[in-house]
Amino acid sequence: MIISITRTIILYLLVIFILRVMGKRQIGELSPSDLVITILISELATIPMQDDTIPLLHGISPILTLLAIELLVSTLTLKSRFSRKVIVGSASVLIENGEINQEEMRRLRLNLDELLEELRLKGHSNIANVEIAILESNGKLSVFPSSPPEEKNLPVTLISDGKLITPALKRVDKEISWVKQELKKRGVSRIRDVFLFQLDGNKRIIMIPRDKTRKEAS
Amino acid sequence: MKATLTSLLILTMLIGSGIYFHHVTENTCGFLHDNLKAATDHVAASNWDEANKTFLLMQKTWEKRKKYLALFTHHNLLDNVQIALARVAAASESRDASALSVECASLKKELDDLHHADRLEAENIF
Repeated sequence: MIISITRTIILYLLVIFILRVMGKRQIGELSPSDLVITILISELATIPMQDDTIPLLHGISPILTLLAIELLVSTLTLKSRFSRKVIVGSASVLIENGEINQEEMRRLRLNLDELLEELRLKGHSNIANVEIAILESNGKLSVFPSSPPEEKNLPVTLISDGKLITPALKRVDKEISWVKQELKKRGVSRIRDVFLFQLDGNKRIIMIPRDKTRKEAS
Repeated sequence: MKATLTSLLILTMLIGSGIYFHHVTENTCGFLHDNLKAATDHVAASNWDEANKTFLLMQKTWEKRKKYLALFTHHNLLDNVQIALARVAAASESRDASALSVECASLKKELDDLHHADRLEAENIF
């Protein structure tokens, strides 16, 4: 019995440490891979807790392996947009300009009742008052109600973390030369030096350069 | 970069530890196998005293190594080897050749199970 108690304390402390290292937030904000890892770790920790004949290392080593994989995957999703899309997924626009994107709903296997329920939970009883609804990669629904004409449309991200998003550029009917020109006006010579570049509905540009001090330090 | 290095370090330590532990298990099983063979040769030559000494050496070595093996090997496997060793020693002390050969076969099987328990084989993975 004392052995069980000792093992439980060791594994509890280990799991807490691992989750802290991984930087977890609330369950509701976890991406699919984060959720899988968290569930696996908790399941793995219980096995040596319950069975004294299993060496503690047989419980600790898979947990550490998951930590290593999680660190690698999170670094990969940070560096690569493509891997982010594959592993984390991307947001889906369900309602745009007040119109429901039925094909996207079919693709997500989301029915209308579920969408209306989520809208009601967000305080929108009338779907006609919703301008944009986006299903985020973590499963939460972001809702933007219909707004005065001058506030219509979400800003479109053209550069994200130093990378140009060509499909977005086509959507706003701009060329790469225009982007470079605008960057030059703001004292930035290269696209890769830009952290965020957005164009909002009023043709206003939001630009955040990369953090140079951090870049120099690394 | 820090996260990548940390994860690679953890993976390297885990794989390195796994290889080391497997090496320790192999050495222990190899030692016991060799001594078992030597002991059975002594029995075949009716040299029971030498056989008993060898079995005693095996038991003492096992007692020492078992504590370390328990850190990374299923305790059931270790207990099975322990029991088989005790039975072999008892059969040898009673100088019962037929019982001894049965117990030696059982010990050999347990050592093989221990040796194969953590090997990277399709049988173990699936």
